[in-house]
Amino acid sequence: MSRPPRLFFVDHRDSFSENLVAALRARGCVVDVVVVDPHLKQSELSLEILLECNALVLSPGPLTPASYPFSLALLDRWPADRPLLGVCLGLQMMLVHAGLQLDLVSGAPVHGRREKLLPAQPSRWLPDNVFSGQAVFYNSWAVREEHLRSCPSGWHIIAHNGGFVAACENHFKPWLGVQYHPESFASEQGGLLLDAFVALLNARASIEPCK
Amino acid sequence: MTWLNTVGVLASLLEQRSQHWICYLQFERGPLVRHPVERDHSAAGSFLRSQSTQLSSRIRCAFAANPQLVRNEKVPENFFSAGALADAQPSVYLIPFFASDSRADPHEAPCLQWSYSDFIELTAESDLHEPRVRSGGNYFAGLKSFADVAALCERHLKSGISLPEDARGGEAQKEISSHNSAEKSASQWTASDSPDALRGIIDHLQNGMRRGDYYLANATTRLLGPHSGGQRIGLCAFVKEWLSAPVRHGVFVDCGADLPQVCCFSPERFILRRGALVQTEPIKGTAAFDSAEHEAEGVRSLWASQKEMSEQTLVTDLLRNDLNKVCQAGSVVVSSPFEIYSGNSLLQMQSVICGRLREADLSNAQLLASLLPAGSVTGTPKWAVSREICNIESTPRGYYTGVFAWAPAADELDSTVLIRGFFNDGKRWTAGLGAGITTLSDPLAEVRELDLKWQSFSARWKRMCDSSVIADSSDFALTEKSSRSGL
Repeated sequence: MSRPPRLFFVDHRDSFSENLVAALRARGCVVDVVVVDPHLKQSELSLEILLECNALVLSPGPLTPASYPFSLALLDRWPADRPLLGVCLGLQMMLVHAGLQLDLVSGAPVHGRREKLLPAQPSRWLPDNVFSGQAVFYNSWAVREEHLRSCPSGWHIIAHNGGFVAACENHFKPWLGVQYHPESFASEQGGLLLDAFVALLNARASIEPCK
Repeated sequence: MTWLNTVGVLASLLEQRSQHWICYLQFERGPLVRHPVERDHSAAGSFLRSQSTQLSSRIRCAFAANPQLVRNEKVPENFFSAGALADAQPSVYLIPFFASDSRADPHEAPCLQWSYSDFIELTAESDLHEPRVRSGGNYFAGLKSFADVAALCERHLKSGISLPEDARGGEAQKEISSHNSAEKSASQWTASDSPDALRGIIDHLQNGMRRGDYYLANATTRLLGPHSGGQRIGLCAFVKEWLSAPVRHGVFVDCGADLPQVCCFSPERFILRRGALVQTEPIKGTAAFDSAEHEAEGVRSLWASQKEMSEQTLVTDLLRNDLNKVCQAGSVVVSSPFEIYSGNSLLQMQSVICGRLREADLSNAQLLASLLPAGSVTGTPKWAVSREICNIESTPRGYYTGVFAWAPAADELDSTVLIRGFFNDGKRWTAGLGAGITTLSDPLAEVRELDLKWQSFSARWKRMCDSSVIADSSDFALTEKSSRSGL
């Protein structure tokens, strides 16, 4: 029997992080939570456990990626062959790190809006049906769909909504991001997405065990 | 006559025995209507409603006489961490609103904890079922069943006093009422913020939300009432007022002139705990209705409103998050989302969230410390928005939007978010009003909603004042001796 997947969970002090942590623990993961305040520098935290983890999770949070230099720096160090899941702010961090820009979703973004995910390209890493149905968004900022389509860095759109990226992934490394909140009680396929992400970790752990 | 009438008589009798009371009245009704489709998609099996319904007791009237103040501390951290020892005995907590990452603020109202040994608690499934009686201490030694309580009240009534209409206060009120006229008691309440100032606050918060600094903010304002020397509200006046129009949770605290006094008629439960099971029921989304025909219309408009639905979704996820801090992974479920309750001409939307504690022996104080401040009166993320609230609101909230908790045992607790209430800080009476602000909020409509909420409970103040005023002391012949023999 293989060991349960171990996750390095970066908590950007969001009031939804515990939902995501609990959902991953309930699916059998061992979750190490590191709380990251805005403007925290990398040197202030120990990263010893980082490379012992099977996956990295970047939590949602307030403000924009530029306020979290620690988390952006983590993306330079995270191995390309290990899975990464970014939720809301976490997705924005991956795309900003890849050189994309953020735009306000509207003059009056509705936090807690529930909208339908529209399919784009199929996913290489997870089953497509987990990126469908109604999903809950809490974001003010997002990446425009057309900006990501013209980005050469291996990122592509799996689902979109209202002209913005709703879910995306990197073709060359198992890095996935969702702009919506899969851990919300009202996101229809959110539970399935987390099931599939943990299944991916388990599958990879069985073929390439972590040291 | 329902047993609740007897409670009215009991209150008038109790009031004459002692000056210091804490009273917790609860009237739980099922929702007016449950949302037909929504489910908890995050959890396997979706609905686990059975957990939630077993937890609620339908009607409870609890009185604690001369509770003993065991802790009175300004700094929340110290207050909660020192809790283990004091937690073992039946306790009552009165906790003001505080920002979730605040340092001690010298203006902050203190956290208070009382223990009690003299108490009586009546609980029943409805006002027609005979209540079970739980009592303790010397004070209520003779009252073991409802028949005992009824017999006592019968004797009380036979002594020639018609109650509860002419209910009178204890010694403290006698003094005050001698120089206090009915007009004075109904003195005007004045707003501490002008409508323009309120719109300014709402505007400021909306700018923060557009930037993504936070995603929901609860903005509140205070109303200033009479100076406390001019008016005290008696136990009986409070109980009578609650009985005349029961709201879910009635909270009365009066433990001496040097401590805060609270008369609250709150629709909102904070945390309910029975053993290892916990439950919370946040409210967001309010609509007014003026007649039964418009009730259904009001329900439809709440469910159709993107603003109200997104606000309730957000606060439900926030409270799930808070329960997840102390609950077993996977045990937190939304057992009943988007329910609509009606009461006092208002419709309110709430969700029921329950979970199972990770550590079954977690103390009540630690439980409260993990979950405060209540998510429904702050916003998200809690630390960012509660700091902003403390900066931008013109007066401290004090006990308004704080929490009252009644803990009869180390693993049993029920608690109430202190909204729709009157608070006496030792200097004057104040009341608070608040509304959830999102980017969709129309500032004018939010200011109107505050007014709507004030209309829904302000009349209670005058009625309580009027019934606290003693007509003529010679009408009340119950002597110290005869009253003592009654219990």
